[in-house]
Order: sequence, then structure tokens, then C-alpha cells
Amino acid sequence: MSDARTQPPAHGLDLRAGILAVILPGLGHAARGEVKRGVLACVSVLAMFFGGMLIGGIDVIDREEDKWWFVGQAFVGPIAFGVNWAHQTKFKAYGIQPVPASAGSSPVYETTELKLLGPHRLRSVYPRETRRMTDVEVRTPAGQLIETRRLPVAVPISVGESVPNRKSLAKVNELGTLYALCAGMLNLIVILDALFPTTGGRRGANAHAANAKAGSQTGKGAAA
Amino acid sequence: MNHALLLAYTPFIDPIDLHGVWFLLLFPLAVLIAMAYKAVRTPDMGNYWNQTVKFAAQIIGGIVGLYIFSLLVLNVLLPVVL
Repeated sequence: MSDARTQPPAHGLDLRAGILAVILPGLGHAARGEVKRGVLACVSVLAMFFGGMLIGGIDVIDREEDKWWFVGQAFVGPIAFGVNWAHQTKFKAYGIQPVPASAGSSPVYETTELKLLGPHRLRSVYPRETRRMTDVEVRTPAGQLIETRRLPVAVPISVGESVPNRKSLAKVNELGTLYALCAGMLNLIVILDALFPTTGGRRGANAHAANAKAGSQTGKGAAA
Repeated sequence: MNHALLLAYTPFIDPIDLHGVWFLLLFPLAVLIAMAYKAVRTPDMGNYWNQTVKFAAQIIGGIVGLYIFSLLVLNVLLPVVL
């Protein structure tokens, strides 16, 4: 009776292992007692994900600009969402231009709620730009001031300033994105394997062998 | 490589300048895919590394095969047909 509670199900649906596998690659298998499988899955999936970032930089994890790629990368779990959050909030800037008349010593930045979703939206900074926290006047389309917000704005780089990050281009960007996507797709297989332990023949064969053994023992017992 | 860019490089934030040898990055990708897949699909973990090497070789063989096929189609077949 106690074995039934402590042992994970040998087949069917193992929800606990599935949830753990979503939290961290391989954790579901480790929780089921298959530590070696869990560790190898974890190491390889995370190596692919962070390998992609090492090749293409943080630019390869981008829910806003590479939406469909991110759908696949998201299967890596909370790590992918965390990296995307850091990318959006710590590296990108609003593309707001200063009001032309104020472009002198202290430029004034104006926008509207609609423009913040459109032409002034968050974007990666361009070459020779940096990200600077700036007071931005948010106005109605008619020009009435609503509030002043402190937002990260893409501004021309000055001496002594550095760029938050550089965008990756061409094959390096493609391969970095592909690495992170493969990490997500492979982790989906790992999650499904933890969630449905009978998927495929591996444990099915083991269960079959165990059943055959148990059957032969029962037969012997009955004969005796 | 531009020295100014090299100084500004931050791992995991900035991209690596590997545009000239990008195709070499397919080999570690094939190995890592094989490692992750075989970690959950190998019946006997005693054969894990053998199976991983075999699967990685199959992936790389497939990529090379596709490359050769594309090369033949573009350089041999299409000039004859068109």
C-alpha cells in the first residue's frame, strides 16, 4: 500500500513529473527516480538554449520581434520567459524622437498611448544609439498632457556611454535562434516523456517483462 | 575582428562574430540534439553514449546528404533542364 503512494506510476499519466519537467528540464525524470536521464536531458537542453544565446546574444530570445520562434523556445520553461523579460525590460528602448524645436540642450520627448504601441514602441537600439531613462510627456492625440513618465528611450550615444547590447545578424542570428528553438522542441519531448511514462517502447517493454515475471510467479504459486 | 567590438563583447548578451565559420556550429547542435533525445528514448542507459554518437552521425550525414543533393540539383540537373 505504501509502495503505491511512494512509487511513481509505471505507465499512464504522471502529472507531478510533467509539472516538474515544465519547471526545469529533466526535473520530472529526476523526481521519478531516473536521475541520470534527468541530468542528461537538463544539461543538453540548457546547453542548447544558452549555447544559442552565446552565439547570437540575448537578441535571439525575443517574444515581440521573433514571436513565432519564441513559441517554440518557450517550451524550455520559465528560463525562456525570464530571459525574454530581461531582454524586453533591461535592453530595449522606446523609439521616441525629441520634439524638433527642443532638440537643443535639453530635448523634450512627447508621445501618445497609441504611438507607444506603434511607431514609438519598444525596440532594440540601433548602432550609435544607447538606452537612457528619460522623462517623456504622454499626451492625448489632441495634444493635451496626460502625465510625464520615466521611460527608457533610444538616444544617440555620447562619449563614455556603451550600448546595452548588439543585435545579431545573418547566419549567426539564425543559428542562435535555431539552437534555442531546438532546446524548446527537445524539452517538449522530455516533458511529454515525463508526463506519459509509457510513451514509446522503453518502459512498456520493462512493464511487459515485469508482468511476465509476475505472471510466471503467480502460475507457480497456483500450481503449488 | 574589430578590436573596439571585441572589447565591448559581453557573453550571452552580444553575438559572437562567427559569420565565416557558421556551418561548424551545426556539429555541436547535432550532438546536443542527439544527447537530449537519447536521454529520454534510450531503453538501456548503458548504451547511451553509443546511441548518441550514432544518432549525431545520422543527423550530420543527413545534413551533408541534403547539401550534396542541393548541389547536384543546382549545378548539374537545373542547367541541363533549363
